[in-house]
Amino acid sequence: MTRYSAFTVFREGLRGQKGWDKAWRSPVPKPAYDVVIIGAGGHGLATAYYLAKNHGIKDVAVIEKGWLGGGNTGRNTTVIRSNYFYPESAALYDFSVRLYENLSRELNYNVMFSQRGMVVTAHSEPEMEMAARQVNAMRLNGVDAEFLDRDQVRKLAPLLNYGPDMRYPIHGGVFQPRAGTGRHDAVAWGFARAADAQGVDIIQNCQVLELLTEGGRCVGVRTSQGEIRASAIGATVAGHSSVIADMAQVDLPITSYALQAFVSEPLKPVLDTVVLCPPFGTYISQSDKGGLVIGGGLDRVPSYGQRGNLPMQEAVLAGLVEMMPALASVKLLRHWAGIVDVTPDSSPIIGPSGLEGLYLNCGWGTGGFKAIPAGGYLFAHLLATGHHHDLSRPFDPVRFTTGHLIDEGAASGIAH
Amino acid sequence: MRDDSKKWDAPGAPTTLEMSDGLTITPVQLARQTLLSGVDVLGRTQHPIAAWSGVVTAQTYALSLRRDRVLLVNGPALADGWHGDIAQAVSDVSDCYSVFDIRGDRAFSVLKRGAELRLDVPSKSVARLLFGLGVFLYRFEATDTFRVHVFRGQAETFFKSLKFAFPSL
Amino acid sequence: MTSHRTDRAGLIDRTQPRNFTFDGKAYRGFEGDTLASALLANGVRVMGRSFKYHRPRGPWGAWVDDPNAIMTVTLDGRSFPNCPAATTPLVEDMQARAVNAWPSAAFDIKAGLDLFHRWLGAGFYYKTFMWPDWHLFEPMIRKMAGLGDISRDAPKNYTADQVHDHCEVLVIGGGAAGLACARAAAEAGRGVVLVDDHPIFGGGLHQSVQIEDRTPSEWIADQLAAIMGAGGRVLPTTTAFGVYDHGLVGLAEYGAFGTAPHLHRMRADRIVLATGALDRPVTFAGNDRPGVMAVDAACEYLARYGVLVGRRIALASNNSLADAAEAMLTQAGAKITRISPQDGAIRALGGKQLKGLAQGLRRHEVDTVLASGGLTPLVHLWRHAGGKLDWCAARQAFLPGAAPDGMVAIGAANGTFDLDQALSEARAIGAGNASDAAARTYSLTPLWPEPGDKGRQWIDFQHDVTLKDVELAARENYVSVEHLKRYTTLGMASDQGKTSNMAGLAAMAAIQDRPLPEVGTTTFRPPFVPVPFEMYHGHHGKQLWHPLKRLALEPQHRAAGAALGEYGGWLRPGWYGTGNRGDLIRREVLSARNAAGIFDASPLGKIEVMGPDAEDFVNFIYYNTIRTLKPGNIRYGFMLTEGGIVMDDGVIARLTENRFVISCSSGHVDSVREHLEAWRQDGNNPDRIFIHDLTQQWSTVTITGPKARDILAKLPLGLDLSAQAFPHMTVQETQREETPIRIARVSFTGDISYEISIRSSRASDLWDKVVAAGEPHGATPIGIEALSILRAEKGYIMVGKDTDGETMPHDLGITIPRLKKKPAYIGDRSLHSDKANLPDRKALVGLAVGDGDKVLPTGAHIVDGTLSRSLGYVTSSYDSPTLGHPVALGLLENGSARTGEIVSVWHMGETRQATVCAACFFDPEGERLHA
Repeated sequence: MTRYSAFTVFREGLRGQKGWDKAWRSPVPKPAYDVVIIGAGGHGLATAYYLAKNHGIKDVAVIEKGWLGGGNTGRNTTVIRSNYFYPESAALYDFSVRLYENLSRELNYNVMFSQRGMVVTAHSEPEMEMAARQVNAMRLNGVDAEFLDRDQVRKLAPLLNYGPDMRYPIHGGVFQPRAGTGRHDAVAWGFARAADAQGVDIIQNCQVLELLTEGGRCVGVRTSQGEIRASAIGATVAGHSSVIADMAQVDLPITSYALQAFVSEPLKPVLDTVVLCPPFGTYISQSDKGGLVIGGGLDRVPSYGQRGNLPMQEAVLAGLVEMMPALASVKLLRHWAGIVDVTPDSSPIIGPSGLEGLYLNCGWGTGGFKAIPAGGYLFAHLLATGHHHDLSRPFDPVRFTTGHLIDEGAASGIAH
Repeated sequence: MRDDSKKWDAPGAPTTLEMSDGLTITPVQLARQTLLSGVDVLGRTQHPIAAWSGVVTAQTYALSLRRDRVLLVNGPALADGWHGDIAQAVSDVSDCYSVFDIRGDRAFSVLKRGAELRLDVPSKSVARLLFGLGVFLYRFEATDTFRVHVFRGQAETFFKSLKFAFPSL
Repeated sequence: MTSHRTDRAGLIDRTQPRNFTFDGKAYRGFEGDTLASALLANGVRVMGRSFKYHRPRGPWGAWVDDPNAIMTVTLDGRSFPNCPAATTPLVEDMQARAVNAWPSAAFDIKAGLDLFHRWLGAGFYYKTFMWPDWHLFEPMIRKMAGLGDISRDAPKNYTADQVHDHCEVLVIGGGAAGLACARAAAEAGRGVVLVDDHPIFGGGLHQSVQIEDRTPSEWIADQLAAIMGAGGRVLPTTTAFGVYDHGLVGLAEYGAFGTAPHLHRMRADRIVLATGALDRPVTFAGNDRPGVMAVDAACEYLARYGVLVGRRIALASNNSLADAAEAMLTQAGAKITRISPQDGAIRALGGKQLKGLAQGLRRHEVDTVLASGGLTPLVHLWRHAGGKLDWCAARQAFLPGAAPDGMVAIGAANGTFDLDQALSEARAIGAGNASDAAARTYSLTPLWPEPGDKGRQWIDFQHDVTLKDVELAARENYVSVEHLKRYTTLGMASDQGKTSNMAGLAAMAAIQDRPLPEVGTTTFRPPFVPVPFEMYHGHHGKQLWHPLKRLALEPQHRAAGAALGEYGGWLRPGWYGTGNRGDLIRREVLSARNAAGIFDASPLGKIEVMGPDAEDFVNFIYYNTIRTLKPGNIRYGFMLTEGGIVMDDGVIARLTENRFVISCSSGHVDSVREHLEAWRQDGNNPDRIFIHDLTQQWSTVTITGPKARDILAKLPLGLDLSAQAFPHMTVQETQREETPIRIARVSFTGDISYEISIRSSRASDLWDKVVAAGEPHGATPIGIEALSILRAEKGYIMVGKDTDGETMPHDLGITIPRLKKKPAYIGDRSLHSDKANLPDRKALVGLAVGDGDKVLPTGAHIVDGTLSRSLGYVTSSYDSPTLGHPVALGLLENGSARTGEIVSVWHMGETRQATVCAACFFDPEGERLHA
């Protein structure tokens, strides 16, 4: 595999870019592997990579219904952060941020993790008290956090409305300097290339039709490209986890919703950080290409439809214009949707599925992208050893029986 | 907290608002509004029932809200509470809802700024989400007159929504 | 000048000149011009620079398909970024500037970047900038990227009208087919709406000499008159930007430049797609040079604006439509050289200025190259709605296949490129008949990019994606169309691939030696063309964004000088009077403790539950046992979620056997009502339980404080107010002047309190009387801020402030029902989970500080000895005016067992000490409460 570097880019420029290798192969599936991973999104590819790298398990296939990275990995708004309240969440997501911090060099693929910081605004005195509670919690959890006043927010996000007509005047906010954005496709491609280089087979256009079971144990999958057997099977199929669970005849506490995202036409740099204004239900960052990348809340009804709808667009974009009125005449270029799996506590599920031999990595809700390296790392640990890593243990689905929920919404004082 | 008194316009006294083109918004003072809930309350009411998009002509009438609920307009005085004899829950809501008549050729156009409305699609219920507010909406006395009941605490918002929507016509 | 205005009339108004500037130079055009047509008329060709290499670019298209001429337009001091010159109407005094170019499109200092193109191919940035760190390179790359810049202030008078609408038949596209179809449908009695994104209907018809024995303008006017005569509506300058579920079509109706487009949310029973087709570019070396244009664009510039785009023109087309174009352009004075691009590779000569076209060894001295590789139907909306596409080998195009519900395509959008056939198809569909397939005269020779060809051949003009980039992507196995798109950014420019997608996937097909349809297309995403955010925003901003509910007593509060603020969705008095806020609030607290406070409690929930099963239902809804509550009595209780979490606290009064009033927190009324309505229908008999939310029927004035009884006694209510006759936690109903009045003796302050409720239209009278009665006693109105302190002194919680989403009732000290209550209630099972039984649950505590210490900050955490782990946090904290020292409430792990313990309180890096105490600082014995 040609190593990527300034030097090879220079050399290939001179010889017409002819010397580059395939980023990954397109292998024909073998009849059996040590581990089969269903779903070649970020989590699936990262799992394969860490299985090979951390556990020496290289006889791995990642099978994908469509094209790799085509689910939520290629549809999200690319925010990476660990501004969480509970120690369990903070440990998980900050581990992910730390892996991201070195990911480009580790994978030899520039994933453009841009630690431009993220500010979550507060709009009243009670919200400032909650913000203080949040900042204190983050710092106690070892996560970087700053408590900002209005002027500090203004320096970071001058586009916000600081006028007297602002519906929710800005009092201050919570800032995480190490948060930021990444290039979502590059994360999938980087992991795919690095996993492939270690011998992992990534098999695209290969749909799982059925789980193969013997004696109550999952021993493989029947796919559109034939049967593939494995001693352990991991499902990383965000958006369709309930579909795989159905095949395994297990009930998952998951509801799937469309989550819409938006990008504007490219502009010269106008916003240097990620901004979330909760009362407007909208967050925004600017991509390196110049497009404003905007997200909001979930659609109101469960759906598998990966497309946008007008009412929710109006809710999110109207919120954007309220919070940043200068953007009123900026044009929306494109909008789309991904399907997110939402659990009762909005925290992910990592653990055995209930069907022996089948393991789940799902339920990341709206926040799967930022967790890709950690999700892959921890899921690989589980698949390789059959046991949880300490960081993933709190996220075992058994918590829905014991009541040990990790409900970040709860931490914000929202009783629900 | 902040003092936001100046940020929010003080609610004006309810008066008739005359827009151009003869569009008027008139606050209506009804003698009484009574909420009645019970099994088959619709079938058992003695009064004409207003549904969408018919025109109400009676002075006493019942708004069909849902399967088991009507709002009786200008009906007789009834005691609040559970009426075991007729198996109905009764509440005086005369002060719960503010009522407006929106009249004129362009009344329907204004309302279409606030909801997806169609006169050619009938509905048994007059409950609507209009400008984001839960209201009761029906036609009263004339095909160009729309009557709206809105929670009193939201009357100011409703009035403002109409005023903003109007110049767009 | 190569491009120039001719004497062909076009559709412009030559009596109305329009002055404008481009890149600082002054020009003149006419009413009816676009920025692009006016510039071409002035001989200006270089109108922009490409995104990556800063190559000079002129317009390729004459309408929405132009990816090149992008400008920031300033009008009346306000800048509008990224305006496509080809669709921007010319307005007097416009100042246009090419984006991404400085000082001008013609001379751009970054043009040198093009010299480095061999190193800047597809995805080069994924392979470098990793060492030492991406952050070193990113700022520079960000500055290089991006198109236009924006004004940092909000645009004035820029508000979108938004309307819901409906029609039976929506015809999208007002060319020949759309007009004919709309007319046929309208005359068949259908309610028709016809939209077109041009200001003048007709599509490409203006290029024709005659249609059905009329001039194009006459024919178009005939159709429009007939449509409107039959009751149809027509909307020019209106773009159908997206098709959504259930026949919902988003229409953006544009007005004057600089105003926000209006949003029509059009619900259509039937949608007719008559959106036409685009010329697709021919992929050849130097095909991005200014002066290389679409054949159809040249005809449009001539037909609509009277502009001839060149004098010596090479016409490189692979299809039969070239003949008409040649005739039209020749007639306007151009010298046309026909080139068959399929006969051998062609190559544009020259740089900023086109010098000619070479094919093999032949050189053609031309100033303009018009190219067409065939027509591509505009099927975006078809795909939004979920329609399928079929590959048509004869037309070398994807055509509408299996139709989405309620949608049909006609005319060029359906591959019916010949006018006569298009008309008969349109009329048949409009009349509700099937269209009969007719003979075609359109013919073409397949012409697609050929891998391995020499030179730099552009696939995506704006994003600078060349054939070599596609070859590189294929070499690196980014072969899925989506990978190709994302890796090379092909089709991701602001024209969303209208010109580039087909060439890109054809190139990939050729490289892989696969049939083109097998490669597939990328997803078509709305909006069809970019639309301003404001269109989604409209009027519901400012006071109409999450509008607050307004109190019946707001005029009284304003008259009393109240500071109004947002509390739980209502605009309520925070405090009264002017001056130092802290002093005012402190004074209110003291007057409530020493005499009485008068408080507007109207937003408190008044949700009535009635019916034969009401008792069982409220018993099920509440954590506490309500069944045993006697009429006339009141009980405090919690409502839980299914997860056992406290979602609301409040009191419930039983008025009669079958009638309860739930007085939930002010901010929770809507959610509690929905909670009740949902559970009423789930496991309960909805025919025996009825819920009336009467919160706004009643207004409530609370008198709280030691003088409350004396003040209430002054109102002629005829009640015995003695503690024996009217004890704490009871309710009395009475009347005054035939108006029902309900008085509940409950307290949220720890002092004797009466909540007097009256119908809202009489509230002002009651308020005035209570204030007057209170005055001699020193009672004053108090706002929520004072109330918050009063209740904290007593240790009364506010759900959501002193509880979080993990708090269960036993964490708040109410343990009995969990252990004893037998009948089912919401949340019961969850109260016995492992988590619910943990000894170290966070429980409500009081926190005391040492003498002279300052108030603990709310939001501070209580930490363990090593300062590394949070044990809980301060939830409410005030300097108590009553007690003369700070008081605080908090949630603390194993809190109830820690009374007396000294704990560390950590806030933003600083640590203080506090002593855990009972969560009640005022009148713990309750003597004042029961007085």
